[in-house]
Formats: sequence, structure tokens, C-alpha cells
Amino acid sequence: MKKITVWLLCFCMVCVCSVTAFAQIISQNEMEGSAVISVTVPDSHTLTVVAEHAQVMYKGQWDKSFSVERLSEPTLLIRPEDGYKVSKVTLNGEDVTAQVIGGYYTMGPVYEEKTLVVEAKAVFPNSDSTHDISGTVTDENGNPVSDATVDIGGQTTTTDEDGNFKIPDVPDGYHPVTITDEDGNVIGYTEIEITEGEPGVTKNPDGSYTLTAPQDAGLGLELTVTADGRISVDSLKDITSEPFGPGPHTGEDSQISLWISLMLLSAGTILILLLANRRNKTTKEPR
Amino acid sequence: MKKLMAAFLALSLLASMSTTAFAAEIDQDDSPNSEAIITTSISPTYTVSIPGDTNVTFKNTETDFGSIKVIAAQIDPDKQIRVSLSTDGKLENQVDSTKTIPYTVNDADGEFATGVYLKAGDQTDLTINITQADWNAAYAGSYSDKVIFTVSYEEIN
Repeated sequence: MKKITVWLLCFCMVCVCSVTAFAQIISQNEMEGSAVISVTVPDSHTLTVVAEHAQVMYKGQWDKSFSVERLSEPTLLIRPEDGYKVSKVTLNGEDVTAQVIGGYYTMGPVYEEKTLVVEAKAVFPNSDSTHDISGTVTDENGNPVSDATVDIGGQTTTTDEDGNFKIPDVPDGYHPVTITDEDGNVIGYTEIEITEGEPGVTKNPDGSYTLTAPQDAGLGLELTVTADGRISVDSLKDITSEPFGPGPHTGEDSQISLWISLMLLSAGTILILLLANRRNKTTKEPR
Repeated sequence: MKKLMAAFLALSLLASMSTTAFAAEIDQDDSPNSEAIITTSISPTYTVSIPGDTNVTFKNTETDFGSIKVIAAQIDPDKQIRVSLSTDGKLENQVDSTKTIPYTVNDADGEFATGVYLKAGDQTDLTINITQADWNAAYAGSYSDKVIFTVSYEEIN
């Protein structure tokens, strides 16, 4: 009896239950209804880098994935490995290689997830020549850039207080050139290809430089770091005949040498005068 | 006693589910050959459902916005139900109202402004449309807009 009663009660409850409909109902007595449409637009997008024999820097960080502020126009630095040259760059499938100048690429407004694909090909040198490279790094105002790290094809050195640097045994071939400050921030970048020929430097349309030099010649470079983070190769000299060791004495060392030289000269002059005087006395002795 | 009470309650619930029948009263005199005139009047009634609040997914150019549907209708033969949509066509940024995202509410034939309905079951399926170019230009943030549906009962033109 209890079970029958329970079943009857359940059946009654099922019959009187109503189903809620997902919609708004306007009956005859209502004239208006409203609905709210909403959307959320994200404040950043991911830039994914796919690169072989190359790496990409954004905001001072070398990485393969970056978070980029929506609608910003980020500038990337694309650097190939030493001995490689960037051959093709695509962004979401679109070829943007021509927009990469001197290793730098500035994207258009970012409004969606982006994938940057970088392809690089090996550049084989036409000789096995090597060069001792020395030079000076200055800024656009001509001021020396001191305590900066100069990296040519993976070989590094630090500029002195006058912006001078020396890097030995740089082989012919294609090399990225990076200059970083004391904090490791990239302040200048370019790419050079050293080939055999008469001394000279040529700037290419893609922003890189071709340096021609005699075999195993010593090279003197004047490098200028520009405000937009590029390196300008202003001149190239064959300095084979100049000693590549420690540079000419400057500062206090040169002053000491000058004084020693003057003293020696003075001493020599006095000695000569004394000898001359004694000779004169010997000549005038009475008989 | 308890069983009897439970059974009695169950039967009461069943009995209370009966539906009231609409019937007209009939008056009839006692003459065997007299005529009876039956009159009745039914007031027009209708029930319309409209789309509810909808969130559009980022970068979707077309989003389902539900339907305008006549669920029930008892209307005069020379009358129709009209549903009109009112919107300024711009989703407004909740922080900076100067930043907007244009949109349209469309039916199968294009941008929807108004529809007429004659019977229960008549419906119009709607979508929310935002162009790809407008998505690309949209600033980050949360946006919203309210659309108004107005229902009116009118003569057929």
C-alpha cells in the first residue's frame, strides 16, 4: 500500500512539473523585451617563432614565443647563426622577407595569434682566408662607445675607453655582428660578408654589408651604432702592415716616453757640448 | 490511518489537475419548437519568444542569436503580430565608450529590422554579424549593447 501511494504521488508531481524554456516570453500584456549582446576582446596575442639556424629577439629577449600587446607594432631582430644567412621569413604564411632590413623586422598591428617562420641557408666562403679585425665603435655623435661587447660571428671582445676593439682570425664568410652594452642589451646589429678582393665595403639593399679584402689582410673598421639599433660600417682599411698586438701607447704611457726621450736628447746634447768644449781647450793650450 | 491519508492526498492531487473548459452559457426556453441563438466572443491572445542575452566569441563573424517565434496565437483574421528590433548597431566598450565594435542582427535575407507573424509556429532565426575587418580593428576590452524587441498587434496592410 505504501509503495502504491508513493508511486501515485511521484506520478502526480511529474505531471505538474513545468519545463523552463531558454527564451524570453512576451505575452499580450507586454509590449517590449530586450537582450544584451556582449563580447570580450583579448589584450594580447602570442607570437610563435619557428626558426632553424636563426633566433629572434623581442624587447631584449631571445625566445621562441612572445606575448605581444594587441594592436601594437612590435620590432623583431632576426639573427642567423654564424655562416648562415636568412633566406625567407613568413608571417602567418605571408612572405615578409623584403621587409627585413639589416636583421630588423617591424610587424603591422597585431590583432590575432601570429606565427613567424624563419628560414636560413648556409653561406660558404670562397676562400679559407682569415683576418685580424680591429676598429672603433662610435655613436651617431662621434662619441666612442666604451665597455661594449663586439661580437663578430661568435668571436667577442670589449671596446676600450676610446671605443677600440680587436678580434683576431675572423674567417671569410657571412657573419652576424652584434654590439651589446654593459647590461647585455643589444645596441647595434648588422650582418657582414667578408670575401676576397680589393679593400672595400658595400652596403646591400637588405641592410647587410659586403667587405672585400685581400687574403689574410688585417682589416680596420669604423663602426657607428645608430639610435635605431643598427650598425653602420663606415669604412674599411687594409691594415696588414700595422702591428696587431697591443695598440699604440696612449695617455700616461706616452707622456713618460716623451720625457725619457727629451731627457736622453738633453743628455746627449750636453755631452756633445762638453766634448766640444774640451777639444777647444786642448787646441788653445799655450806652448 | 496514514495510508488512508496518503491515498486520499494522491487522489486529491489527481483531481486538481483537471483543465477548466471554456464554454459558453446556453440559454434555452421551454418551448419545443423555439430556436436558440448561441453567441460567443474570444479575445485575441498571442505569446512571442525573443532571443535572450548572448555572448559573442572573439573573431566569430556570425553568431547564433536565437529566434523570434510565435508560441501561441489566437488573433483576428485581419490582424497580424509585428515584432520590431531596435539597436544602434554598436557594441560599446565598458571602460571607454568611444571604442565600439559595429555589428548587425541578421535574418536569412539580411539585416533584420521587423517581421510579421500570423500564426503559432511562425518564426525568424537571427544571427549577430561582425565583419573580420571590424574584429581586426577592435581594441582590447569588454563590450556590450542592448537590443529592444517591440511587439505590436496591428491590421494587415
